[in-house]
Amino acid sequence: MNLSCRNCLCFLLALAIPALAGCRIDSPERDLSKAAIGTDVIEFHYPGSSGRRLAVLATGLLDQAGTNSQDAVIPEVSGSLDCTNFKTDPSGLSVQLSAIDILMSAGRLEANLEVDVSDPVLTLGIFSGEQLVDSCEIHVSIPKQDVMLRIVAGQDNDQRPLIFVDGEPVLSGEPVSTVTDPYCQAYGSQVVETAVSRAVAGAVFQASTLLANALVEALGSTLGLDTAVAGNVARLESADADPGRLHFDFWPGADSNVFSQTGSRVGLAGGFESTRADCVPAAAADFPGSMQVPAEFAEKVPGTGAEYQCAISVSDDFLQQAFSAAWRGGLLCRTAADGELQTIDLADLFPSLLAWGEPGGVRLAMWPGGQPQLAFAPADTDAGESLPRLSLNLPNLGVDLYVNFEGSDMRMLGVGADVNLELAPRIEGTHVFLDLVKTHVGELSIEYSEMLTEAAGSLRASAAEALSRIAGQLVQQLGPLDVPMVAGAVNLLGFKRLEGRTLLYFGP
Amino acid sequence: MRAVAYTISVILGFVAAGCASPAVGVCGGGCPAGTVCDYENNRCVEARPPDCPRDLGRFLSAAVDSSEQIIFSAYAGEYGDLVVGRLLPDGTASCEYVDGTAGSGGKPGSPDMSGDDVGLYSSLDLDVFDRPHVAYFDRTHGKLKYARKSSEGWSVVTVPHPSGENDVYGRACWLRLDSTGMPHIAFWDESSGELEVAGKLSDGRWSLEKVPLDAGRGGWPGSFGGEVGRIVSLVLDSDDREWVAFRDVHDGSLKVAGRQQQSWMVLLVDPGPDVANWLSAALDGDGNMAVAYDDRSTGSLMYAWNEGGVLSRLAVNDGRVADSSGAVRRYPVGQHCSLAFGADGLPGVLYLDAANLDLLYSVADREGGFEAPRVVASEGTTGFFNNLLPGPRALSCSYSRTAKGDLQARIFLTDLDLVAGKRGVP
Repeated sequence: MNLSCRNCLCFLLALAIPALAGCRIDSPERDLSKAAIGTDVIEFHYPGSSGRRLAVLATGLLDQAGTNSQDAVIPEVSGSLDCTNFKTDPSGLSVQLSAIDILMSAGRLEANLEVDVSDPVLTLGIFSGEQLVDSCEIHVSIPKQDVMLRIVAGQDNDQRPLIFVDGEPVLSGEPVSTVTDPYCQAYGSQVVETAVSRAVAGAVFQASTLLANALVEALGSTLGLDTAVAGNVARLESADADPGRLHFDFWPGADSNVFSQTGSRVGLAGGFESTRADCVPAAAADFPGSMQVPAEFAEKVPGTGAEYQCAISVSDDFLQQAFSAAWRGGLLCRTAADGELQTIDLADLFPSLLAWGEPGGVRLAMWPGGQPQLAFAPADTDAGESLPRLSLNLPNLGVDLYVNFEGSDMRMLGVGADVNLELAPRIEGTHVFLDLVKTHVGELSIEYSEMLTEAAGSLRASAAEALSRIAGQLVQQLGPLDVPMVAGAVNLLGFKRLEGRTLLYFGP
Repeated sequence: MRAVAYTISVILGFVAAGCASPAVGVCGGGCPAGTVCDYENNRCVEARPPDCPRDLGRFLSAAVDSSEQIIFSAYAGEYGDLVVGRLLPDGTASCEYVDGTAGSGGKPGSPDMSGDDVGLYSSLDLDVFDRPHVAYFDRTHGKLKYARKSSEGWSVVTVPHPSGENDVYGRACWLRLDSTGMPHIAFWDESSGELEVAGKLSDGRWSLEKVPLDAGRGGWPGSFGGEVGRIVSLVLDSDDREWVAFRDVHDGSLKVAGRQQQSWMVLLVDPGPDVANWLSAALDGDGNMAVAYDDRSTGSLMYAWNEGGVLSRLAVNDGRVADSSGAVRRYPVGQHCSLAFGADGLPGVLYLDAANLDLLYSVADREGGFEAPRVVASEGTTGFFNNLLPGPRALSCSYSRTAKGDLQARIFLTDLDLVAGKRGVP
């Protein structure tokens, strides 16, 4: 699988909104309000040395799309000979990309394409007046051709970045050769072959131009220029009167620095916003988008000095906005109807549960009353962690626990607390796992309890421990998140924290 | 703010706790006064009281006799017995231990605590002579049983079934008597995953029929995995034909099966995916069937009814409660529901508020909907195994804890006329 920075957007969305695991994404809408829009919330960066990698990726996209071969028509060629006229029937040829080399330089990409061209055979007719007097074939041989392109960046009418071929493709290579059937040579083959060669060269140029345009489109896609993702997310099977809805919309920003001496950078603008679900407080507000300062990407992976192929910068505000919108849209709410927590046992924490009988499944309702806050925390390198931790603070979280006894789901405990979760991301192969490494429960209050025999102090301690177990269970339920960009030989090589940003470097 | 609920509570046979100190040592050393030896477990336990046991109310089922007295059956959890009782005008009750007492040795005051664990899912009906008939589940043997009182006393039988000795059938049973006083019992055959209807014939034999269910039985695990809610409810129409509302345990839907001349007609009422873990069926004055049931996938109390062949459904209570911040929380409601039609032809439903463990009552209005729910009882842990009786009155089960921390069920009666916010008498 090819590495493409843009492939990571879906993963980042999933990382930003863990609740997406239980959500549906509807058809896109493009109706983000101005307040929600931020710039450079995510940046894709290819260093100056990554031209070869870009070439591989673009070739893969061309192969995938079937546009690595382009056809053109050799038009009818006609003319006069000494006593006769000649005319060839229109024919076709194909230009097939065989190799590509890309060099990234200041302000432009220089692409050198090696192409194979099919050898057409043309039918030649010799006429006396309107009368066909003879017919034969002309065999055309076209050697490998080189096509040189200069690709530069610009903006479209909507001020979104694009790339295009500056000028025309320049073809070079051995000239076209033609061989006419011997019995037609008496009519003056030199004149015919010259005319045919010119027509064939024009067709090769036409097909090469089409190939160049296809390559530019593939390169733009590889660089992330066609990254436009929008959608809506709502809770699955929500029976709420107003379940809320999260919107997201991202597109390449006008300030993207597509080609520079240090490489290419495409910054995405956009953001998240949501309609308020009825399970969050009426005063819940969206987190606004922000104007980010574009990141400075190093030439080498910081700390290791290794070369990399692609880097991604993710702004903290992107994640914060995503979580806030998810919260406001009700994606962090959970009702008892959402199903049982698997493999969780609370009987050891609350012995009085056993008075009801043998407990069945445990169900959880969760009511996040305050806006979640997301921050990064240092990795514990001694524990082998290689990525910064995510610290998720859930203030004023209401949690209800239901336990099933003899066919009845009954609320046994209701608590309110500020809960802080520290998550350690871990990449294994093509998956990212989130490990819950620390849970802090503060401001805990018991709002409802059927645990009548537990003393108040022990009940609070048990409730805090129960929250930790539940959080662990919920994080575990997220399962591994697929990361398409680390497929194959591509791995995370390192990261760097900047003010308000995290940079991730990927390579072989 | 909750309406104040005025209840007439009948605490059945409550003997003051603490009169016997917990036993120490084994029965070989004798048991303290007021306790007897449970030889099976080699421990001293309190003896069955002379009248109603203290822990009584689970799987409560009730009916009103011709003298307006309430007759009930219930499971005595402490002993695992089937108990049938009568509420007396003075607010007390009298009880009989019908089954589970291991013969005469298990009678009240007897030291023999052993006996079968019977009485779960008890379902009671009265014949024209006000004699109680009860269907119930024998957990010890995994069989359906039927008890009937006559002038000679109680007769108890295991309902015959062609299954093997180790097969389990009879959970979620529901009994109704036809116009000739013959019992009809709907229940699940747990081993095969079949809904069945048993009927006693006039010659004393029993008939047994399987209600045909189309799909899903291939993956049946062979067990419910424990106790379930009231997932079967049986009514008989004016021609004594059975109509069974049931949760299809294979797909979590609510269906109704109606007896035809030679077969059964099965109708899908609510496709689920997880409905009718608790349900209650009743016929309106025109003989149309209605079902109250819980929707576990939304936490709502639902009501479905047939009106001239048209099936309709609505949410009686969706469990939504707004807090001071304006956030709406959903609390599951609808379990332990009991449906009945009032004298005015309007349906009412008693049910559990599972978040607060309160008893709620919702009554239909004349506009096709239901009025806002009323809190009938909120003290302690209450609202279980509800029975909506004429009056209207609510006979329900609540739980409390003993000084030792054991859970204890009790039965209480509420006159719904006295519940604040009450509209006209149904």
